[in-house]
Amino acid sequence: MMDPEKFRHDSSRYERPNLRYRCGRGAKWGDPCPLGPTTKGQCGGTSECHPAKVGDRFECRRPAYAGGPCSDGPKSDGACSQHRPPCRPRRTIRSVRGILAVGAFALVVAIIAVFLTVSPSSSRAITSAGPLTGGHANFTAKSGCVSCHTPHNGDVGGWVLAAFREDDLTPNCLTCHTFGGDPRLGHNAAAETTPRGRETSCTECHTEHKGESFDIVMMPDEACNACHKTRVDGFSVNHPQFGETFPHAQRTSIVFDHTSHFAKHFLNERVKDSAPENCTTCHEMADAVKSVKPRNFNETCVTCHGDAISSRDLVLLRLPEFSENLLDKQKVMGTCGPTLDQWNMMMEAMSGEEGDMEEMKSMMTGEEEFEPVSTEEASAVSAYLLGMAPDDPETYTKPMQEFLNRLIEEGSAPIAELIDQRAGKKVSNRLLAGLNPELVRRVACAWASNVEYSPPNDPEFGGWYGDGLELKYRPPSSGNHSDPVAYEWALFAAASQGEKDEVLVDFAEVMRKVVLSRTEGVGACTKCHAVSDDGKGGLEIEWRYRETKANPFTRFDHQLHLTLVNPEGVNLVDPSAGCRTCHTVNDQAQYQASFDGSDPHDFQSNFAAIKKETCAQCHNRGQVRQDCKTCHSYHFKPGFDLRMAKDAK
Amino acid sequence: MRAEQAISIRYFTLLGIFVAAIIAFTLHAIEMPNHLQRPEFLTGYVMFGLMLLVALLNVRKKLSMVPIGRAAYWLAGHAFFGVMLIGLYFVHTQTIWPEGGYERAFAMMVYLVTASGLAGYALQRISPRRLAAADLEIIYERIPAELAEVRRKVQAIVLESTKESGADTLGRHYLESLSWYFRRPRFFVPHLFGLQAGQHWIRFQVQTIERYLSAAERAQLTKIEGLALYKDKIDLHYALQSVMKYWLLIHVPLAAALLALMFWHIIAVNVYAR
Repeated sequence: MMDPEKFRHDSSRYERPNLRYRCGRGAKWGDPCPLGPTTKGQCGGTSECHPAKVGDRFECRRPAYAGGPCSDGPKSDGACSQHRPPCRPRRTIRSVRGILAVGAFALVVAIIAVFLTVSPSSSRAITSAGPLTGGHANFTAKSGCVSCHTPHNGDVGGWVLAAFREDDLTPNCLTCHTFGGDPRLGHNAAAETTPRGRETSCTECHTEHKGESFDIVMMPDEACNACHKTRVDGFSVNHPQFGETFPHAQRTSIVFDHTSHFAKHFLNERVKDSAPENCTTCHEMADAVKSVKPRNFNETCVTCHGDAISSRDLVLLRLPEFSENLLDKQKVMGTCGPTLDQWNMMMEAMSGEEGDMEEMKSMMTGEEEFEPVSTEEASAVSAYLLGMAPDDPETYTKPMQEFLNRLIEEGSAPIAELIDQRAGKKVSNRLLAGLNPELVRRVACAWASNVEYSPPNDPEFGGWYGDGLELKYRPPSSGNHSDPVAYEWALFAAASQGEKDEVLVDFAEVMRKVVLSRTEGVGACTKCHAVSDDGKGGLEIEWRYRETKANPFTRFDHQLHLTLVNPEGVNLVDPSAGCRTCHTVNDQAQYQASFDGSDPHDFQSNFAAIKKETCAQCHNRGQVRQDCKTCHSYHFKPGFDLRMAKDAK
Repeated sequence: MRAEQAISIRYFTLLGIFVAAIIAFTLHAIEMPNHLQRPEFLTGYVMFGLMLLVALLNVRKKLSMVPIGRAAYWLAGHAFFGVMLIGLYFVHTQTIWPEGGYERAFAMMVYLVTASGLAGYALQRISPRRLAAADLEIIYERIPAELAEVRRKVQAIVLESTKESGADTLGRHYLESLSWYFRRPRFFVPHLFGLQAGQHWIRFQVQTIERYLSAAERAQLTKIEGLALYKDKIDLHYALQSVMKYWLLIHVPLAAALLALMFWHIIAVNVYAR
C-alpha cells in the first residue's frame, strides 16, 4: 500500500492532465521537472524555480516536494542558480485525442468535399443511398439522378431550398409509369365503388436504393389495413365472406346454359357421342389465368349447332296487303314486261275473242276490281326503313307502291339509300353485300304486278333471294361461323337503339326485336351472343368472349389451380371433382331468363357463388400463403409510357 | 447515504422514463410503415438528437465545475443511449448492412463506434476492480515520477551494497539485467491479461544472483526485490490505466467521424428523399 502522505499537497506535484503538454523527461520515464512545460509546449524546467523578490532580495521558491529552497539561492539578477538542460515536452493523451477527433471530423468532411467535386460518378457515390432495382437502374442510366431527384443538378441555392421543401417524387415516377386511374388515389380510384380516400405518393409504399434485386412492390398486409376499415389479419382468419354472386359480377357474353347441357343435351342419345368429356374439351387451359376462355365455335358448338346459322333468314322486304292499286299498270308492264297471266291473256285477245280483248283492256287500264295477292304485314325491316306502320294498309299502300316503282326503276339503290339514311353513315354496301339489283327489280316487278315472285331455283346455298312475297337473306351454309351480312344486320339493329326520330323509334324497336330475336334473328347470332347495354345508352352485341372486368383488384390464376384438380382426368359429370370442386352447378338458376333483357347485371349464373371456405381449405394458416397480395393487387391497369424505352437508349 | 440513495433513485427513474420512451418510440416506428407512414425521418432525427446527447458527455467532462449530474450517471447514460442507438439504427435502416457506398461507410462507422464504446465500457468496468485488488493506488500521471523514485532507490541500494561489501556482483547484475526492468514499465501485455510474468521474472533474477552474494548483499538484494515487486504493481497500474485512456483514442475520433458522416447524411436525405 502506498503511503498516503506521499501525495500531500506540499509533498507532491499538482498534476494537471487537462493541460496540452507534459514533461518530456517524464515521458521518457525520467523524473519530471517540478515546473513542467509551458502551455505552448516549451520546456519550463531549465531552472528549478522562479525566485521571488522580497524587499530588495530574491528568495528561492523551489517547492518542498522538489527539495525546498536550494543552498545556492537565486542569482543577483533574480535568476535561478540551478540549471538543467531543456527537455522536449510531449502532448498529453487528452490533447492527442482532441487532435485525432478534430482530424477525423475534418478528414471525413474533406473526403465528402472531394467526392462531390471530382466527377459526377464520385458525386453520385457520395449522395446515392444504394443501387437502384434492375429496371430503374437501366431506365435512368442516361439521365442519372436527375431522372427522379430534380435538385441533383442544381446549384447550392437549389440544394438549400430543396432541403427545406417537400420534394414529391410522384410526378417523376409518372413520366414512365401509367395507370388506369388517378395514380394518387386509393387503388387509382378505378372502380366506382372504390373510395377516393386521401392522396398518396409512390414513395409511401415503394422504396428505392435498396439494391438491384430488392422487392420494390412488397407490401405488407398491415399496409392494406391502414386504409381498409375492415381489418383483415389473414384470409382464413377474418377475411369477409365473398359476395353472393362471386365471382360472377355479370352474365356471360356467350349464352351457354351449362345446366341444360349437362343435365339434358349431353345425355341425349343422338349427340351423346359428340358431347365433351370434361370441362377442358370446351375451355382452353393453355392461357388460363383469371378467366378460362371457351374454345371457338368451330372447335366446340359446331358439332351440334353447325346448321343453326343458315337456318335463320332475314326478311328484308315483304309485300304487304294493299288497300288499292295506285300503280300505273301500263308503266309497270312497260318496264317489267307482262306477267305470265298477262301474256296468256294477250295471246287469247290476239286470237280474236272479243270478250278477252275487253278483259285485257280492263286489266291494262286497271279498271277491274283489285284483289291484293298478299294479305301479310310489311316486314319489320321495311317498316323501319320506310317509317310506316306495317299493319295499316291505308297508310302504307301509297308509299309502299311508290317505293316499288323506285325498286323497279333503280333496283336495290332505294333500299341502300334508306339504310344509309337510318344508319347515318354509309353501311349499305356491307348490309346488302351480294344483293343483285336485278333480283330486287324482278321481285318488285312481280309485286307491282300483284303476283308472287317465283324464284328460278331453291336458295340452297344461301345468300339474297326472293320467295313469293318476301325478299330475304339466308346466311350461306358454308360452315362459316362469322357471316358478314348477318353480322352487319345485327349491328345495324343494335345501333337503332339510338334512333332519335320519334316517328321511327317504335318501328326501330320492332325491327330490333325481330333481327336480334334469340329464336328468330338472322343467323341465330343472338342465340349465343348476348345483347347487352353498352353503358352509353346503346346496345352492344357481345361478339367475343369477355374477360371479367369485375373485381379488378382480385386475381386468380386458374392455370396454377387447374393442376391441382386435374380437370383433364375428371369426367364432366362428376360433381365433386375437377373444375366442379369449386364451380358448383346451380340447377335452380334461371340462366336463360337472364338474357331476356339487355341489363347484363340482372342475371343468374349457372354456377353457385364460390364461398370463402372453398379457398380456405388450402389458403390457411400454416398451409398455403394467405396474405392480401396473394389474391389482390393495388394498382389498376399499371403500364409503362413508351418514352421510357426511348430514354433508355 | 440517504441523500445518495435519493439521487440514485432520481437518476434511475429518469433513465427508466427515457428507456420507456425510446422503447415506445421504437415500437411506434416499427409500426409506421404499416400505416403507410415513413419512419425514416422520425427515427433519423431521434437518432440525431441521441447522438448529440451522447456526445455531450465529452462536454460534461470538461465542465466538471458545473453541477449537471454526476459524471458516473453521464457515463451510464452515454453507454445506455449508445446501445439504444444501435437498436434505433436497425429500425431506421431496416437492415444490418445497407446498400450504397456511403451508407455502408456510415454503417461501418456506427458499428466501429459502438464496438469501441462497448469495449471501452467493459474496460472501465473491469479494470478498476483489478486495480483495487492490486493493493496500490497511483495516479496515472504520477507513474513516471514514481518509477524514477523507485529507480533511484534501487541504484542507491546497489551503490551502498558495493561500498559495504566491496564486491561488484550485485552492481554488475543490476547493470546487466535489473536496470532493464527498472528503466520503464515492463510486461505490459501480461499485465493486461492478468498474468504474473513480471513477478516470475523478478524471482528468476533474484534466484539467479542470490547464490553468488554474501549475507550482507543478500539483505540488500531483498530490499531490491521488494522494490521490484512494488514496481510490478505500478506496471500493472500503467498497463490497465493506459488501455482505459488509450481506447478513447479510437472511440472518440471514430465518433467524430461518425458525426461528420451524419451531418452529410442529414443534408443528403433532406435534399433527395424529402
